[in-house]
Amino acid sequence: MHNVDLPASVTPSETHPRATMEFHTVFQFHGPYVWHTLRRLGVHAGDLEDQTHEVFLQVYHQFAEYDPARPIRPWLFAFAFHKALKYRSRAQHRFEVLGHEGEVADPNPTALDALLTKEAIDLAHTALSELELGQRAVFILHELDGCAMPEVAATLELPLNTAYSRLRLARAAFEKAARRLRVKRGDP
Amino acid sequence: MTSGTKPLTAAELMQLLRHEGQTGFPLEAQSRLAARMLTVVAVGDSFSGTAAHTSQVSPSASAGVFEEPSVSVVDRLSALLGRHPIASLVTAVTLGGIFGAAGHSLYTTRKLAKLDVAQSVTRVSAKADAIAAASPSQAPVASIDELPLIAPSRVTAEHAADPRRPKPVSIEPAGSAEPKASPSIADQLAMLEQARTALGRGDTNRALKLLAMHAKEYPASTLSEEREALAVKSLARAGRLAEAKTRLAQFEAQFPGSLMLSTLRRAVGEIP
Repeated sequence: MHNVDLPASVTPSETHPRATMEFHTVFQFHGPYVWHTLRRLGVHAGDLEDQTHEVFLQVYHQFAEYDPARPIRPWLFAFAFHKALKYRSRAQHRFEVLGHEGEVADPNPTALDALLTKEAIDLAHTALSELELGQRAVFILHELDGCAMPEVAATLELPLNTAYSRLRLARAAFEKAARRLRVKRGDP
Repeated sequence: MTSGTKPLTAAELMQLLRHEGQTGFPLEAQSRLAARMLTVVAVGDSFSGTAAHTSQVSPSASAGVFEEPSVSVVDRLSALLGRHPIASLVTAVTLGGIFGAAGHSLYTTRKLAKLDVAQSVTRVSAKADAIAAASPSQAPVASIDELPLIAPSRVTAEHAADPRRPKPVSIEPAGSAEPKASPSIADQLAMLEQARTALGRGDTNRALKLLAMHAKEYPASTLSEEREALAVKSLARAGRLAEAKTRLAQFEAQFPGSLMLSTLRRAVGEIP
């Protein structure tokens, strides 16, 4: 970092190199997580880059508040969740557009199976988009990110019972959406 | 899925989402976001007062006309791009950059830097290591093992088990993969990062020189927004406020929706 010449006795919190280093590390390893979380929370493909950037802008400024004893992803999720709430509250985003127009090129090779998988992933996002946002947040954190329920409740600042109840509702809604999408597509 | 293929259950859809969540940024977004993050850090430095510290960087690190990147350049850019920027100009923006380097610690990056760049870097790097060693509890994260990634092994196992999934291109090192994007992005990033570092040191002349060089070589770059933002800040820092304001007006016309506008307005004193 740029101020390595400072005496070693100066604590990192005063010199920032550690904070900057870890911010880079967080961006490197968890940037895509924020990206995917925002998409799961209904941010349009064309807006993901800006929204991810905005989340990390906030993460950077509040980085000192991160407690390293806690897993970082739920902490980042909270930023993304608030960003997604704000994003959706803007009138033009109130209705989610399905199909993810403006999608950046799929990084996979153009093999047929990759194409099918992309379609399947879009389908999965469609099912996810039918979940109410509060339930969806619990569902994403627990079912997709593998976060334990107490951590989920803490992240979303919910009573544990409420978190469990939202999880039940979200699971049922996701099942229902998946079934309905199968029927709609003419699959058995 | 098209009709005729196996219908997907809710559980399978969830698995797909989990899998997708483990992939990296889309190619285009990755390099642009990394560049924008560099700007974030530059912004943060000037806000939090680290600019005063940056002037204390050893002068030995800035010898030469086109200086070797300092260790901070190498570390930052590598950290943001997920790989070593100098040795991998060609593959810097290929698939899997972010996770491709997941197995490499930042120390590895630093070692690579020692191989490639000048001795001064080694000296600075050694000092950084010494500081890290002096306060082990506060040492920078040096290994992927120390990062609280959520169940990466489980997901990797799932990849292996399910042939229907796409190959985990974004998780495995790029290796000998064909470059998927223009290698010049890495060059450009390196150039802009040097300008940013120079600005951080208060060497606005050098920063502006590098930015002018970038503008000449890549007039219509995807990183133009970052370049122009740095130029406005450099001019403001140099006390050339009138020029900074003119440049900002051009920036505003070119990038009316830029997230950096408020920061730049503050830099030129339009917002107190």
